[in-house]
Amino acid sequence: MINRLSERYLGEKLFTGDLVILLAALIVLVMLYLQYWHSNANGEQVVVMVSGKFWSNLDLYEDQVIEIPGKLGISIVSISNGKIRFRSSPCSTKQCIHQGWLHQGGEFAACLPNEVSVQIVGPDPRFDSINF
Amino acid sequence: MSQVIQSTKEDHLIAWLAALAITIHIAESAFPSPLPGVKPGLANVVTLVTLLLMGWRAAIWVSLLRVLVGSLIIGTFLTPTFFLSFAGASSSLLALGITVGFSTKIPAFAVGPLGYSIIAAMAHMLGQFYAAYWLFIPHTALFQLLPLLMTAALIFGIVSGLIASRVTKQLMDSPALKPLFQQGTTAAMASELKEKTL
Repeated sequence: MINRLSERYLGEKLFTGDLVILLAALIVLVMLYLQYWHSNANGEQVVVMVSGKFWSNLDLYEDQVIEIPGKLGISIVSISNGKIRFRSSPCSTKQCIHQGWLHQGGEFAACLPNEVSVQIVGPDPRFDSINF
Repeated sequence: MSQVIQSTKEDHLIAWLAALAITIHIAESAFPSPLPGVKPGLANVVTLVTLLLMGWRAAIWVSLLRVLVGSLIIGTFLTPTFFLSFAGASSSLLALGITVGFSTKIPAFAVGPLGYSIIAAMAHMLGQFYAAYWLFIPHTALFQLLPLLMTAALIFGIVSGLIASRVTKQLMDSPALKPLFQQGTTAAMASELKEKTL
């Protein structure tokens, strides 16, 4: 009455329902990864602030290299392929450069000694707020 | 006038199985886990075996007794851990009940120990996750963990299923225990497992 699909190496029987459930579980798993790990909330614009004041709005879709004058000197940010990063900065620890490429809405990098910050504004920000 | 409650053989069996599950649960709690909330869940093997051999109601008794007494002994009764554990166990039992219904109503897709185990493990993780989300951490960032947790649940579910399958088979084979399981077995499952020895 119950289908015997295979003899497992341990000697257990595999039932048809088991395979159905296993398949369904794998599908659910894949859907979960796609839903929660593959975010498509890419940003479109970057807001650059210097010393707490608005300095400029940059377009993420336009490849460019911008020099931003800050307190210590000039921080250079480069935009390419919808991503932005700090390329060079006059600070000592280079934390801003180590942030790497930002591309999702809400992502944020700053050179605190130089008082320069960039934040991506997008359709669906990943974080509501970040507290330091 | 005093009345003595007569305990049946089934009661004894449930108590015995529950004690086994509790012991495994406590022993397992001594092991560290790589991710919070991820445990091999070996005590679930006992729940599965109970389900396969004695039916859904007995499995409910064993599972809930395990959660309750286990938490009392370890000392986490009424703590957040307890509520998460209880939520997981309840979801797991509910899902198992539904699966048993499907399995018996649609013989072509009958479910074996492996299938029950996967359902139990994933329902357990899902129930536990949503309890954590609603009661303790209502932040959408928590969902980033869900794919990982469910993957672990699937893997450990398969492992538990293989173990439960083996245990059930050996139990049904052993001549000493056969008469005990004559009443109250999920009949189709029991006969199919017995067939294996022929």
